[in-house]
This record gives sequence, C-alpha cells and structure tokens, in this order.
Amino acid sequence: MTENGIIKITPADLGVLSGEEYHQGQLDVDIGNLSAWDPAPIDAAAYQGPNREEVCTETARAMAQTLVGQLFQLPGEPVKGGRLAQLPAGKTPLPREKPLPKPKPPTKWEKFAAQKGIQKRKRESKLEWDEGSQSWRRRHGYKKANDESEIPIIEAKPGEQTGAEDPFSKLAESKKQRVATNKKSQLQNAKLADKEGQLPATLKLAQGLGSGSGSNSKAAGPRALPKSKRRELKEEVRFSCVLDSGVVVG
Amino acid sequence: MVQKSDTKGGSGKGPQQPQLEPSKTKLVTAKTRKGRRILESRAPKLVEDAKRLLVLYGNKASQVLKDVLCDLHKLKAMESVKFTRRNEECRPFEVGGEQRLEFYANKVGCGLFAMGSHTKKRPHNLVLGRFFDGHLYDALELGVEGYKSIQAFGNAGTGAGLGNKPCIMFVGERFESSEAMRLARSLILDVFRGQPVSAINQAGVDRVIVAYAVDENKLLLRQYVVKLKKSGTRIPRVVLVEMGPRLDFAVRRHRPPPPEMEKEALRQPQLGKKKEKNVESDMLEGKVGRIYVPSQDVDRIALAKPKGTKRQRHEDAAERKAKHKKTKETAGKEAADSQQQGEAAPL
Repeated sequence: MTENGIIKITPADLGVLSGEEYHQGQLDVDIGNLSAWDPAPIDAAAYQGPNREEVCTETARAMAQTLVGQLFQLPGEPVKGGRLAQLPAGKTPLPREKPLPKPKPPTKWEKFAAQKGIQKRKRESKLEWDEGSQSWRRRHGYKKANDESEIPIIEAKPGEQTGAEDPFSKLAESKKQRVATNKKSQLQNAKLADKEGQLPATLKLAQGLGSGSGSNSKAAGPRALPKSKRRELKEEVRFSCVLDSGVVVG
Repeated sequence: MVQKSDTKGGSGKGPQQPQLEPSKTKLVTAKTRKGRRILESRAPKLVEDAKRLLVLYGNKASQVLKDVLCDLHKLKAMESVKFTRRNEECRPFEVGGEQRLEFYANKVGCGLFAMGSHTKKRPHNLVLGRFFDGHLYDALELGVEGYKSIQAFGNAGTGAGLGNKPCIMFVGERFESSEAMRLARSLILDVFRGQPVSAINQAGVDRVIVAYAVDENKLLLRQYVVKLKKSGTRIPRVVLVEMGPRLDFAVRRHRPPPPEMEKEALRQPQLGKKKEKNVESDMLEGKVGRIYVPSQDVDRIALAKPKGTKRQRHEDAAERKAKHKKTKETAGKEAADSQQQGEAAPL
C-alpha cells in the first residue's frame, strides 16, 4: 500500500498465470490419453527426504498445469456446463483385450455369386400383395403372403389324376426338404468357417447326433424321437461289437 | 379337386425314422436373442470398450491389501468386478498358476486384474496384470510399503466425479530405461485410462494420478483432485489437493508379454477411409487426379490415312477382286471335274 492509499496489486495476487507455473523442461504429452511423462532424471534424494510429499505435489502441479494448458488449446465447442474439447487418438501403444475381428468368410453361394457377378439387391419392402386376402402381408414367415399351404383347395391341372397323392402333404414334404437342404448347407459353411477359425461368435460347432438327411427331429415328431434314438444307437453299438471281435454280443 | 385334410401333412408315409450319425457335428446357435447379444458383446470388436478390472485376493490377504484393493475397486467405479472370497491356486508367476485367473477373468469378462496376496516371503503383495484373448498377457508384482487410504484424506475426494477420466502422469527416466518400470507405466495407464474418447468436457478433468519412478525398484503412486481456478486468461490455474490413495510400492517380480502375443495384441485396426492414391486437391482446380498411360509405339500407331494414297487403295482393291474372281472360277471347274470322277468311281 502506498502513502496515497492506492493499493498495488501484482498479477500474482490476482492469480494470473506468469508462465512460471508451467512444467520446466521436456514433457512427453499424450493428450489423447490425458497422459504426460517427464523423462528427465529424477532427484532421488528429494523424493526420500522429509518433505517428500511437497516435492511430489509440486511436480504433479506443474505437469498438470502444462497438460491442462494443452487441453484448453484444443479445438472444441461450448456445451452446457463447460466446453467439449476434441481429443486426438492416443499415441501410446497399448495392447488390445481381444484380437482384431476377422472378416466373415464367404459362403459357398457368395463365392459362386462373386464368380458369376451376381449382385445382392435390397428389397424396398418386406411386404407383398396377397391376392387371397387382398392385403399387404409379409413376404416370409407366419401369415406370409400367397402361402401355398394356407389354400383350402388345390385345383387339379387338366389331365391330372386325382386321389393318388395328397397334394398338401406333397407341398409340406417339399418345404421340409428345402429347409433340410438349407440347414445342410449352413452346416457346411459353418464347418468351412470353423476350419479357418472364423466362426461367428453366435455359432458353435458341437459333437452331436446329426440331423439326418431330409428329416430332422422336429419332422418326426417330438414324441417319436427319444425311443428311436436309443434303439438306433443300441443297434449301432451291437454292430460295432460284431465288427471288432467277430462275435455278436447280446 | 382335393379337400384339405385336418391333420396337416399327417397322411401318407407316417413319421420318418431320423438317420442318426453320432460322429457328425451339429451347429449350435444361441437359443434366445438375449443370449446372442451376450455372445456378440464378448466377441472381438474393432473398437474395444474400456477394459474391466478384476479385483481379487489370492491365498491370503492382509488388511492393508484388502483396503488397497477396496480403493482400487472404488476408483475404477463401473469398470470393476470384485471377488470377496480368497482364491487359491492363483499364482500368475508360476507355470500353470495363471489358469484359474484366466478362468475367472473370462467368466466375468475382464481384461485386467489386481490380485492381493500376503506371504512371509512377499508381504503385502499386489499383482497387476492384463489378459489378451483369454490368456495372461503380462503381470507386475508390487509390494505395498506405505499406504494411506482415500478415507484417511477426509472429504478431499468429493471434488472428483465418479467415472470421469483422470489425467495420468509419470515422473522419472526409469519409465523408459527399466523394463519393469516400462511395464508399470503401460499397466497403470491401461488400468486407469478407461474408455478412449474422441471428445472430453474440460470441466470434467478433475483428478490426476501420478506415478514416480524414484529408484530402480521404488514406485510412488499419488492421486490429486484438480481445482481449476480463474487466472484472467483462457487457461485456468491448476491447484492440486491430494485425495488418496497414497501408495509406496517396491517393484518385485514382473512377467513381460511373450513377443508373439505382444505383436498380435498391439495390432490396431485401420479406422476410417484408406487414402486414395494419385488423387490430390488443388486450390484452384479442385480435385486433381494423376493417371498413368503406357508408352506409345509411334511406328505402329494407327494414324489418319492421307488422301493421296486413296487412288492406290482403289486400284489394289480392284486387283484383289479380279484375282478372287479368277480363283473362284478355276475352283468351280475343278469341283465339277471331281464330281464327274466321283460319280464314275463306284461303277
């Protein structure tokens, strides 16, 4: 305070940065990880003396000031309750937790399509016009449009002999076969993918009683399966005994 | 016309016997949508989430270690799983001793672990480590020599928000020169950095974790709350208040990653678009491309035909025509002759 009663205030009193607050010396900053490293040789004696904590805090404060300075220089935009600074990617190499995801291997069809130049095209809508009900219905699945199996009457073609075969069961059988073929190719593709170690995470190949060709467990009826499974297996075991020892067991 | 029967597809052959092949593999899919989502979340991702920390005790744990692990668990907030019982057979520095640890980490989906154990030979032992692809990647053993908990600092920690990203700083040249310290630097950064982000609220920078490599095997860990004070400039003045935990470590054993695994683990995905080759942008011309043309053979190049050679060409064409007609006539004569001979031959 001077004689005239005028108060002198230095920038330090106001808390204005003078430049001395920043870290002196080299500082390796990885702003993407909000990280910094001071590579200068450390004064071991200072960190083991009685005022160790003060030395620690002072070093940390200077480094933090530099880091905050760099953070506030980054481009950004104001948001509610602060300012959002755009961070660059971190430059310190850190190991991943899991390996990089491998691309899904092409299925047999995808390979063929690529060879032939067949391109996938996206449908505009999942709906299709249903002639019977005169309404828009889904293309596939439950209550699908133009469902053959939902027709109450199948008209015979001219000259076709009726009564020999049930056309409804014929339709159902052909559907079953298409499903079975699709399942088979799915399994084949999964096996190929598994060989290359690229099976999707949601799939797993396991030892099992294969679905059989054309007729899976559901087709035979849920009640019919367990009995036949056991009988078949027993026969197989018995047969293998014959092959191995030459003596029929049982 | 055939009326549809009531039993759908039931008429005809009857139920078929399934063909059983015990050796055949079968495709197992997730039974529920939720299950599939869980499996997908565990699968490798291009951009990974924050690594979670598994906090557990080994054979025996001292009270000091229990408190240290408690503090660590608190600091990691949402990205941590803590086991409360002791776990035998967890010895990451012994052959085969990492199997239980790997099993637990896979079970809870953690990429990091902090294990506390207490023996006569190695009292107050804290092991920090990482996993890669379900296997132990590296580990570092630290002996706790001095400890002051977060609680002992009173309410200093209330200045820091839960889940905010901390600043992580390292002091000392040994973080590069010493192998164990290099590992410690990488581990500390990995444990505390959390989810990598592309933008951060500057007001949310509220704590600093500092590691000091004081000696060859002496590591200090401090944590401070950051207070941003007005400075009259754009950049605020930083004031630090210690909030704990205050930890003095003695570096004991370390297990660096196997070189092959390290190479695989450090591989980073290529994000964003690949740089287009030979395409540049110009201030005046906009998008400018460079193309390459194979060298031209001037001797064989197809040039415009000069008019002077036109008459010559006409004459040549007429000559060719005449020649062609002549040959055709002679050929016709020969054919007629041979036909006569052919007719005569069978007789």
